Amino acid sequence: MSHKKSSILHSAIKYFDLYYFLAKQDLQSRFRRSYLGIGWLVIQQLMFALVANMVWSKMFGVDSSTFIPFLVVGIAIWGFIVSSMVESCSIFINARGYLKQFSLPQSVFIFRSLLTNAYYLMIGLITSLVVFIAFNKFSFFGVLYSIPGLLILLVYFYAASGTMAYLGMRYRDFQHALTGLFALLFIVTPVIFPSEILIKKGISIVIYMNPFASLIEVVRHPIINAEFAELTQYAIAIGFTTVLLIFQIILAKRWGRLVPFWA
Amino acid sequence: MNAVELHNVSVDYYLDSDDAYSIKNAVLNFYAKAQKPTAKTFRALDELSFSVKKGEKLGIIGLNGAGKTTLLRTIAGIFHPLKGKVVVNGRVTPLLDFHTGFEDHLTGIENIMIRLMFLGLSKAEAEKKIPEIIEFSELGDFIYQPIRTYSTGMNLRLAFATSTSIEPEILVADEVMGTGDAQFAAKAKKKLEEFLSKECTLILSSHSMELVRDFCKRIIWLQHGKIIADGPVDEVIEKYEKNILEFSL
Repeated sequence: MSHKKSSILHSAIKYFDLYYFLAKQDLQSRFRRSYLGIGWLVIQQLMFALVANMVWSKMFGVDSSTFIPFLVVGIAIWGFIVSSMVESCSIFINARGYLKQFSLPQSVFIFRSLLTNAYYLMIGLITSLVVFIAFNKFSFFGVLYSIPGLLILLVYFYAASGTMAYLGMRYRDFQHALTGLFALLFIVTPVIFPSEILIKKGISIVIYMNPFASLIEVVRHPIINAEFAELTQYAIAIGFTTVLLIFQIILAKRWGRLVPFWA
Repeated sequence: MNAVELHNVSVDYYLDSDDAYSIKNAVLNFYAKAQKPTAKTFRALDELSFSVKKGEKLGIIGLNGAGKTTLLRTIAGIFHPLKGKVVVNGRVTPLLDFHTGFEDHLTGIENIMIRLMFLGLSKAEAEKKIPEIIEFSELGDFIYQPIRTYSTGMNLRLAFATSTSIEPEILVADEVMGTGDAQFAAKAKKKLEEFLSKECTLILSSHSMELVRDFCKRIIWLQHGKIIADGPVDEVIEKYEKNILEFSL
């Protein structure tokens, strides 16, 4: 009985209490000793947007009242994406105490990370909406239109962090490599500049070849413009997620058995 | 009815791979594939077959490195055998390295909750156990402090109290013993006696012949991942001790 492998969805439901509890403790313990608590995240996000706005709005010749809301959403989503790839490398390594003692599905630890990071993303998006309201750019339909993109983003997180959990465990220098890679990606991904700028200059390839740009667009574009993003962006985001999911399944088949030895 | 059945179970350990778990070395190795040696493995369990009846109390003995812990982990479903089949009827409660794997930055209570939920209790069931565990562990208000502020003794007391508070169906335990100062050790011994005598299937590995003699009716003696002897307690222990004496002389 205990040796049967259960499906992803099945364990997502069966072990909800457990990973919910773990994620909650992760969040609580992170902010337990800090006076501002979760406020630190909000301040960080707002400061970044304000400072970036000072420089880049002049550079790109865009109005601050459209640029600040744009920056704030982008940063929230980018943080979620970086964490899905970089932080996730240590999911199994951090859980090794449990992995060697209990026979729970490995996905429990991926869900734990998904839940923690979804919470951060939610805080980031709520902050963004407040900023939108402050600049009088808020649109209720924008929020509705962003829901499909958000769902894709959540599934993407599961797929990416599961893949990285296996790779980061097998190759211990993978996380360092990714940290460097993502510093680079930040420069070419439209987080602090609008994708239209590159598309207008004729280098749209930088946008369409970068799946992270699509993952940002499918949430950011609807919120800002109160319409769905380009269909291509959804296609790229879903395609990328599917590839990662398949990759994760292959890795779980090959290395899943060895996780208690290796972690 | 059998609680646990093993059919020709083999478990191999992969010795540290030659790429030392780094991409850099993996890439270098890929280009130097010609002289790459085949992956080194170590056979921890070698074609084991036996079964444990429901309610039976089985002891596992053997020298260090005989495969006792690997066997228990395989029965608990933590290691999946490369060859063979493990059949388990009922819920296995593993008690392996039970004093490790706590989250340092979380409080005693939070760690108790997590541990109990990992052992298969629901959140509500786990909450019900908390007062009893706090009382037994004698941690008082320290239970609200992060585990990293605990002394080794406090840590062990917490782990012991938590692990022995459950009602297992099939208990798989590795080298459990009472802990702490003389006063707590006496209390722990009594608790352990109660715990191991519960109406459950027990698979207990230990170096203490006294412990297995007290709680088990049947003993399996493992060596190099194979069964050397399987039978009534006194018979197997006698053989085992005679064998050790011969080697140490």
